[in-house]
Amino acid sequence: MKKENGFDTWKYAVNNLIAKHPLQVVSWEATRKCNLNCQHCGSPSERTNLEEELSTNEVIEAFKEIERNFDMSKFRHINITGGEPFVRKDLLHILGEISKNQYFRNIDIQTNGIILGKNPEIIEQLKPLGVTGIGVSIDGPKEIHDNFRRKSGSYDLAFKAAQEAVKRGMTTTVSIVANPQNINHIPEFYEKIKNEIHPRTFRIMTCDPLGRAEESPLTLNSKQTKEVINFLHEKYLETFQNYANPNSTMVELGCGGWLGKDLEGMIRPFIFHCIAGLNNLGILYDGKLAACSNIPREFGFEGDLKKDSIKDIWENKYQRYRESGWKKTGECKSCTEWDYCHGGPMHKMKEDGSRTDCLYQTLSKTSGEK
Amino acid sequence: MKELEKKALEVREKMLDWENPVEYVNNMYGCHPGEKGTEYFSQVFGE
Repeated sequence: MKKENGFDTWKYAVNNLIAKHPLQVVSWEATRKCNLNCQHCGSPSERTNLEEELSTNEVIEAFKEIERNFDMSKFRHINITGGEPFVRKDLLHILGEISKNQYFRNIDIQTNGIILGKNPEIIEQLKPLGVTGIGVSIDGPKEIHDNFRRKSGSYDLAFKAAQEAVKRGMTTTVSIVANPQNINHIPEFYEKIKNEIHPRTFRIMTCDPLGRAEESPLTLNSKQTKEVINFLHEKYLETFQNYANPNSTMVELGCGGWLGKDLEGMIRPFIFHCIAGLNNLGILYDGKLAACSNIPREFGFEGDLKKDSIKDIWENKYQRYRESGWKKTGECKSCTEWDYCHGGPMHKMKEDGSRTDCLYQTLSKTSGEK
Repeated sequence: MKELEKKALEVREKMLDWENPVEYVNNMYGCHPGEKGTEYFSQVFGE
């Protein structure tokens, strides 16, 4: 097959990955319980039955089932989300059991930092349990963060948790959800985080209209979205030549979506393609099998590990993630970027093939050109 | 800026040629890409 340029090579590799769909990442939503009540939470505890949470043994058995039935030589990492993972009293016990498998020793945990900030010694306990990465959410300066989190003092604890994670050798990400209330503070906030925490990654996520943010005015308008992208592009150009140094701080945009061939690979240290259901399996708090823990529950599930074989579900029930034709609706129908993005991130997708927004389209309209 | 963009484009070519096209997306949130942990960054962003 003749390849015209780098993007064609990449596209070919993505299509090959989709065809083979090796299981490489498990996103485990450890719980929906949380010790905060954030304004913009995409995975809130409302409308969930917390009594259905997987038991200690059910979680351990699920990972043993994966170990037995999948090609572990292809496996890469476990991403633990919530709720707040550290409110699970059995979290360290579970990690101790599953990390006995050598392929389950590359684990990251996403946290609000409340518990780690109060008890940073927990980080030392995590290290022998295969945890290599900690992600801490900090949503801007103190007053703004505490307001979002609806808890005074949460900023100080999150900040301390991130500092301690770096100090204790964790590959640390600080994530900020950009929204109209903090967008003007992002440049100064980035400098503060870079200079006082030194995380491996400074990650900006755009606030998606999901969960509690679905009906709140926290999503960015087109102009603000463009400001965020421009900021990341500028900082990426300033810093990318240092990224081989593990002590440098990288900038990235989270799973907001495809930016177009002009910008992809120029604002974050990777080319984006949603991995949900391609090599990423989502295990939700109650054992429902999804493609990623970021995808709203309303989108439905592919199976239930309390009843189904994970392998069977993975091989036979994820077609809507691996076949993209049904997503080619609206502006996607005539979009020249379709062959590269396949409709963008699945957490923005609705069952009828429409989506909440598309970053590429937003940027194109803002610049007045397609 | 032009010179930086030129260098960034060269780096991007290495990203696009990486065997696993979603290597770093796979390892978002600060996990370590590559069998030994840092190949992606040393090879894509190194000299």
